[in-house]
Amino acid sequence: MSLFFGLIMFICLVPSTLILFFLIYPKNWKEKKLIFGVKNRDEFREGTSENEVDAIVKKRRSQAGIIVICTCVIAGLLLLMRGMPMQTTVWTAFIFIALILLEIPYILGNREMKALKKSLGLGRETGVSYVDLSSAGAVHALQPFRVWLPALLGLVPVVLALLIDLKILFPGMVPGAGSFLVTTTLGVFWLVSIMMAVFAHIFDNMKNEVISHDSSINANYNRAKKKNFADMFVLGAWGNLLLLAAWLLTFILAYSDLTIIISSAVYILFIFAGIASFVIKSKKIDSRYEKEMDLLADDDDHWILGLLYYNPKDRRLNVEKRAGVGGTVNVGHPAGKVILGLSILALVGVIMSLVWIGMIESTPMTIKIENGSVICHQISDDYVIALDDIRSISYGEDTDELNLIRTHGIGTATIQKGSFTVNGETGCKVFLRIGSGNYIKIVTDSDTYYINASTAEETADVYKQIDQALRL
Amino acid sequence: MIIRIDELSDVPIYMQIRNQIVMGISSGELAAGEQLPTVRALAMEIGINTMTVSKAYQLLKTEGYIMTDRKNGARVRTQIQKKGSIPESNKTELRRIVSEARISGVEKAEIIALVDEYWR
Repeated sequence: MSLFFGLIMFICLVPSTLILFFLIYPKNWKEKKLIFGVKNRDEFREGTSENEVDAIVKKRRSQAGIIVICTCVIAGLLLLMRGMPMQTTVWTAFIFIALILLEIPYILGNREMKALKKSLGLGRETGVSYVDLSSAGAVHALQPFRVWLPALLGLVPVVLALLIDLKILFPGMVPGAGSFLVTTTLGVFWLVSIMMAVFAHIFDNMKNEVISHDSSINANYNRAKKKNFADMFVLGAWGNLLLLAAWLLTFILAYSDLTIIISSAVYILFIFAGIASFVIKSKKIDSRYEKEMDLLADDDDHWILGLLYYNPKDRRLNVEKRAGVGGTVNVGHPAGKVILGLSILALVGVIMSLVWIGMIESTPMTIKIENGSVICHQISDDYVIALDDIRSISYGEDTDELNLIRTHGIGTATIQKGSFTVNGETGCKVFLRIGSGNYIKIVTDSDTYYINASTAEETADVYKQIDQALRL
Repeated sequence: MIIRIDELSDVPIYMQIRNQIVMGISSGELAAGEQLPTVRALAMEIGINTMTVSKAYQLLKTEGYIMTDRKNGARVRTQIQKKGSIPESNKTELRRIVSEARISGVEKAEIIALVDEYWR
């Protein structure tokens, strides 16, 4: 399990850093329209400026190269790591750090290019934009049904999973039915398909770039770019549909963590193949039109660090990225500010969850009998079971004999807490540290509990105490 | 036809749009009957309010350069009324330009050559 997780993280991180490296640190800067987010101008290719730009590009590219090599080596070493919760924390932190570090030479390069531009006395053209009247609002490449068909078909597996969970379809034949876990997961991924369809429209309606005085060149360039975006979203929507179908079949035929991980890994590979194809096509389009680019608006000063577009006077929400491919939001736009705020919140949320998981993992789980109740405690009291309510208790030798499917709560490789389907019985309350061995099953008038403590000795001891208390 | 918008210019954006469309019609870059982008599309491309573009189109319509209808949007007029005279406001503007050029030492021939070039 941890090797699979490591491999998924590895195949997510390593190609991403390589793609990012080749995109934002190009070798032949003279042929690119941007150098570290600054508009490439004829003046940069003249006299001593050429040597200066050369030096900036080489220096920052080699720094980024070292970061990429270090990232790949560390990612390889992390594959040797075992222990899921710690792996999750380390990998997530490492991915954040690696991607941020890779941007640093770009940011420094952006500052140096802006300083060079200033020292050359190149006039700022901030606030100037060009519009091609022939192609304004007229260049589109998306055929809506191509992206909406897979997005809407994705609803079929979700509805089927819901019918299974409601036990209308295949009653009593699907283990885990009734937990609504698969329905929820499929529903979330179906929403991803819908978002892809919406984003396909947003990118298809994105502002057309004016790269030439020739309107036909502008129209062809923008059409090619928008077709590339449309193809990527269509591919993503079909990939999502296949994943939904695969998960539904897994749910019906052979539900296990392993099959879910394998299908997720195949899906991630599929998505990466799609992104790689998109990036290659993007580069091909740019290199095809590089010689035709004789007109580019200079809005360098609106790009903070060459990464964030901030222009409150621009009413557009989405603009083309300067670093990498795709789009980004105008953080000067009111909706852009909201999106930026939500992204920061999401980032803080991920960091807080990692800290929370770390605390949960490192805090011992205890069971004690106090004031006529069995108390399951870890950080706070998770369950308080009155001894008078207990109808029966039984002792289990090994938690591995339990088939646990989480409905809600915490479900790491070593800690399972919350509401679970246990051996086909839905709605069970679980407080288990997997791997500590034994467990106690408590049945009350209203609930069934599966609990244990951090050590087998403590669990066995508590079992004896409850048994004695019930006999009295 | 490419239009250049400078949001920091003293000339209002709707007037920049209007002026460049008029220059496009005069130079032939915008042919008679040619379709113009919709108000919404042009506003989105420039990143400005639709009201600004609407104001420019309204002005062009009033001046007789374009025609608009709900079905076909805005088009360059096939028959633009030839008044055969320069409006007073333009005469004043031309006078200002000639005066400034004269003060800064520009030769009359140079101005005439420029007029010839623009006329073509």
